[in-house]
Amino acid sequence: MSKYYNFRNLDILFVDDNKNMHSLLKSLLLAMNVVNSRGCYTSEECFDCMLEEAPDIVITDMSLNPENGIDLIRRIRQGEKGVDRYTPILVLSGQTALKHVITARDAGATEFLAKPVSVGSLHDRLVWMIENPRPFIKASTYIGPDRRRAMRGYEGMERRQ
Amino acid sequence: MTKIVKMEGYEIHHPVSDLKQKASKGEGLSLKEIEKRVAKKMDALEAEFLKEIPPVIEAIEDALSRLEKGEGSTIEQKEIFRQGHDLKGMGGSFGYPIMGTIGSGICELTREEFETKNLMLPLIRVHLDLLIYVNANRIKDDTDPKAAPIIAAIENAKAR
Repeated sequence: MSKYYNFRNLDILFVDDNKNMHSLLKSLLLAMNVVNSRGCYTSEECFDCMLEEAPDIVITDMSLNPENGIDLIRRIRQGEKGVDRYTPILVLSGQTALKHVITARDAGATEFLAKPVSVGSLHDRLVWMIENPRPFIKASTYIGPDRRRAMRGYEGMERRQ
Repeated sequence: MTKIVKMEGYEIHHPVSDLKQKASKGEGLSLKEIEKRVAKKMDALEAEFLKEIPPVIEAIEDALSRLEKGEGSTIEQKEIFRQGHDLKGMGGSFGYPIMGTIGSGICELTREEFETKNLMLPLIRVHLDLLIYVNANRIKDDTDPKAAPIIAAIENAKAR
């Protein structure tokens, strides 16, 4: 038996406002055997797709022209329109400054992956998300994955006291 | 069914995750096999990416020209930033990290902390010229013999 994960049954939804990123992500996911990937360009399209069929993972850019990927994450975490608020969200962004990573985390992102993206880095994050599901914290000002378990690559950053 | 544990001032939710079950181990591919699959498609993806560079150049040129003539506003600044940002993210992903570096430089020069009237337009112009040159000569990264002066020029055209 192979020791590798088979991604064939995963449904992955990605949101990016760039046509080339769609081609690239679709190809990278297909190479991993993710035959059920869907791409959308805006937050509203993302909600429509999530309601049509709940995805296993959402991958989103942070700057969706003219919208904002951070707002999309917050809206998903609020369960807006009845979408599954616990859906794992991987942020894929070129905005890699620490303040942007913290903003994504505080909005409720599950993991963060910096662009440029390679098949190796994407595969690594997906495996990490599969093997390390996180409980959610619901407080007055936050709902999202438990931030005491830091996102990959940011272990130990700003842990809760 | 999500198990909810009430704590003092917050709740811990334990949603059921079936990711592991769905991505069962058994018939998966190794990363090496996946990389081989991607490599086969990369030429076509790269060609598609390069087709989109002339419109990017044109969009930056239009916005920059307006700013240089004193006709631009934050709209032009945001447009240049957006194009640079896309380039930053895509360049490396499509095998042209040098375009990603140029995109990153454009972002640095046009970020919203700068007031439009204080933008260093000649430095943005240098980045645009470098992008045109890199695109015309299909310079991918620093292994290209023509890359050294480009990298030096990018370094010299940084906002200080």
